[in-house]
Amino acid sequence: MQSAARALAVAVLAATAAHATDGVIEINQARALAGGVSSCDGPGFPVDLCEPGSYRLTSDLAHPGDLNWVVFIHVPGVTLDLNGFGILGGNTCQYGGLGWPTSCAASALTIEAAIRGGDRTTILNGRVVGNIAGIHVGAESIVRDVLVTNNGGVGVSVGAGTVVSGVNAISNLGVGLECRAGCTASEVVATSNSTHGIQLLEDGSLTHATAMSNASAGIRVGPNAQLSQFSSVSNGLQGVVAGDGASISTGAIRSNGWTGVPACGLEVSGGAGFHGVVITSIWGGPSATVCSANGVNLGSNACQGVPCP
Amino acid sequence: MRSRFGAVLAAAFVGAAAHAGDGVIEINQTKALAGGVNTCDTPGFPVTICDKGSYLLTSDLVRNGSAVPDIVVSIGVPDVTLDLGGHGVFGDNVCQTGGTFWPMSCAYSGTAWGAIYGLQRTTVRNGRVAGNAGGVSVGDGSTVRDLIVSGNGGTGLAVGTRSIVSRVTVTGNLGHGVFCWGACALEEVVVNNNQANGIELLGPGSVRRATASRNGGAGIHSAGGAQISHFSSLSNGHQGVVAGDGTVVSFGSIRDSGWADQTACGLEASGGAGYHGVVITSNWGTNPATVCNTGAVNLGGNACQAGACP
Repeated sequence: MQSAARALAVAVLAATAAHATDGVIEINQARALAGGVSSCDGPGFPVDLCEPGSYRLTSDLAHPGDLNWVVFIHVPGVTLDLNGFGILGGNTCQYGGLGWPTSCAASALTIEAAIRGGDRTTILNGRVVGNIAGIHVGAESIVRDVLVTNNGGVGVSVGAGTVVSGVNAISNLGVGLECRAGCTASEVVATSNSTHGIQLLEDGSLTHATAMSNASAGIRVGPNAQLSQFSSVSNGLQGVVAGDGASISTGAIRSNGWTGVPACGLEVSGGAGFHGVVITSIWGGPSATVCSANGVNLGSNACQGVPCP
Repeated sequence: MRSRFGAVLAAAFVGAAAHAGDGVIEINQTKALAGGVNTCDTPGFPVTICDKGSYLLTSDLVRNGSAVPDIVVSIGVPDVTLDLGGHGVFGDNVCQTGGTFWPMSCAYSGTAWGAIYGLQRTTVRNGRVAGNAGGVSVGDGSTVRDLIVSGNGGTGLAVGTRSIVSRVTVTGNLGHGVFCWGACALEEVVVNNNQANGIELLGPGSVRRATASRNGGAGIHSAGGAQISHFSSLSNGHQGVVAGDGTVVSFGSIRDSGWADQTACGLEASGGAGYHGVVITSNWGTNPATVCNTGAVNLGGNACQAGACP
């Protein structure tokens, strides 16, 4: 009888460990290794989540660094609160003389990521460091307050219609932050990534962004995007590349073209307009200016101390 | 011995389910069906809240198979905070797009109410509202943050005047994406693929850092006296942006407007509205990618199809 009661109490305690009193399912290293975080989750990594709902890390998740996925979210409608913890892999990268990683022990091909999620996923409040890649979520998601660094692939990749806020993407072997169509992103820092710092493939809004020392363009926005309140400095190629119909305003572009490949400070096309942009001191290649294929100078721009063309 | 142990255990569970240790009242599917969340709450939906305070979802709320009642959580008093806790309020509504980018019909069409309905000074945050007859509707002076609202049979998010909305993505709803009854502050907003306007401001207010794409109406529509800046408006059915009297529009990109109404302009501005730093390109249909201007002011620094704007 006593042992039965004890067994019941243990079971209750186990359930309590799995679910916090607020109904959030807790994930930690011990539970990840034991399995059973959700109905489809086996022992070890990845932690598979196959039920919508709210999940929270209660410890770091540590692993050697070569896993394709550490947390794999198989369904839409999941919130994963990293709760100040991190997904910490042991991946190591080598860095060239210009500061960005040139190779990593483990690198991503396409869809690998430490956190892989579907549509309408929310990821917040933590770190993703030293993995095969960082965060990859589907459309209409929210990603905020994350630091993603030293991963062997894209830092943060989000689907169309996603809101991104407070992302710091550093030294990833790929794009720092990439959004497909129609995202709103703000408060983004992308430095020392091995391709572009920030890329919006089509439309969307990017504000309060800093891109520095990335191997390709600092910021690349597709057709109809809006970019404002930004700084793009010391990137390997262009400071900013803007597609047809984009609007670029209030930004500083400086000392780009580090790789020596001819690149402009600002490259615009197809009726894109720029206003309030200051471009100075390009390395090599064209002068510190705008390369425009039917772009429009909207006024109040300065290129190396004089009005831009 | 066993019964006493069991009683203690049961009491502990009930206490934990009703109130978190911080005084927040918890709501979950079991409690919703059982009733008693509040003094006025009866079994089943809607969960009725009639006491001011702070509430937290501890599971998804799922209400399938019926459009009635529209409301899943009905907040009948002002000054309530509803934290969705990363959970959602879900129905099984299904919408059809009919070859457009936005829904043309849904199995359930909403009334003016949302799945979450609140009065003045309501805070709703941190979760999802999907597949219901309507989305979220709250009163004056409310705050809505960190929400994903999609696939509902009415307006996605309706807020009263003097409300704040930030970090929301509102997509695929059979109505407006975000609708404000007066003066609101909207920031970090995505409104895509909604059946009516992406953002509708009935009064003044501020829209910043917004993406409005592929909505059936205008991308962003303001009645007047608003400030709209740092935005992208792409491939909407009617105008990219409508700026009512005295509105200032700045630093935005408008492209491919007029999918449903090929006489619509990229930017329609009136009554002393001003625009600055706006780039308009490539409309659909007969109307050029430009500004339809009735008494509005070109503040400079605008481009229409790579040339000067009127």
